[in-house]
Amino acid sequence: MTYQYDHSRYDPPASVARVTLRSPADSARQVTTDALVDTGADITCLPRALIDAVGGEPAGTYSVFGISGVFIGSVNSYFLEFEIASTKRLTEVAAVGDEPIVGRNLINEFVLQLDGPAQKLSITSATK
Amino acid sequence: MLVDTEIEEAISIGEVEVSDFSKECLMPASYDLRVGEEGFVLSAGRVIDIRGEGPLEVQPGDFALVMTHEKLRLSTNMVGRFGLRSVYARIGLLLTAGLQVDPGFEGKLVVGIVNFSSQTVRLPYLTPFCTLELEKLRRHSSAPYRGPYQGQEHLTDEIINTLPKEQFPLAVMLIRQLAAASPSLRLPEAPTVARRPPEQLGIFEREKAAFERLKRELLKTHRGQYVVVRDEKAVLFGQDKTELAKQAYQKFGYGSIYIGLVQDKPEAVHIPTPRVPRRVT
Repeated sequence: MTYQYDHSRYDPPASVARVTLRSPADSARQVTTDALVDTGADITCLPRALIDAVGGEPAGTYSVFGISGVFIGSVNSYFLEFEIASTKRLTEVAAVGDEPIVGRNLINEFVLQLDGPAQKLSITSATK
Repeated sequence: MLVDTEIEEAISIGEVEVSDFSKECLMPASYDLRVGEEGFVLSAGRVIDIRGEGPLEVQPGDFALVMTHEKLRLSTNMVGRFGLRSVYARIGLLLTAGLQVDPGFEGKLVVGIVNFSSQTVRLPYLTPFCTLELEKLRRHSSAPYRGPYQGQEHLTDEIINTLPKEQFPLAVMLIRQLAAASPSLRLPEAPTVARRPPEQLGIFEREKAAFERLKRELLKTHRGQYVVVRDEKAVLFGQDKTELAKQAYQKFGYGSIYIGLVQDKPEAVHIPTPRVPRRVT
């Protein structure tokens, strides 16, 4: 599946993917959003409001560190069902920040190809 | 400086972490810290298990260290200052501590106390005895705290060995004079905030607190593994957190569990993506 880089929110444009998140308990509760594909992020991150919108239940906690190892805060994590590139995965997300970010815990499940000049991101499932 | 609602907000977004947070300890513009599990009294010369042995007893002229019940974590744009609750200051206790809780500090606070009163002061477990103010800084510190007390949760020999070896002579002399002048001085009852009963905690908070309690034993048997805590018991173990979550949800339904990694430090993630201000076109 191919996605155009996002010019409207990022300058320089950034690779984003359309994701749908659902509650594992109730698939009818779902939200679709664009998320920054960030290979620097250890974990997928979502604003708390999106997690609440699908009825996420906390399952763990993380200390979150930003650039230069600056401690950002201690946050709860949630397991939600993510649909990306037509593939569904139970994925752990940290409730941090105000923009959806797809981190390496999800990225590493897929084959990604970045085409900078064409400003396109293609994602395919690694599962045969 | 943060007011009560801002303190709660800072905790909810993770700028400040206070373990076993109790709303009863939230003051108009501070948070009361409670007497923790461990204390040290100079005259006794040993670490006291306050929870197990009973209240920490500080004799007139004696010096004690009290470790707070709460474990704190401050983000790098937050600083803390703390002082004794006035009920203790009025009866003659003096708090000795450094100027501030540095940005980036994580751990329990160790508070020095000198008893300048003429009577023994008893500090029961979970008594609110000092109060913490929080101030939000305009920027993140470029060099947050990374000192020797980072992560402290126990009164170690390293801390104890820095103490004086005998009671403070000036304090003893002053106290004798005070006792002679005010023989009828009586101390008020120390206020106590009981730990919130487990049934009043949210399910997630309760399971998380149980994980922290169980961790010391689990470190001996399941170090490096993930554990699912449910009904305050460790019920599932595994190396893959997501697989463990799947198993747990299949078995117990979604929610009402805590999954923790059995290791000394809290689980950490890095999101080091810098941002530059967007160009105006």
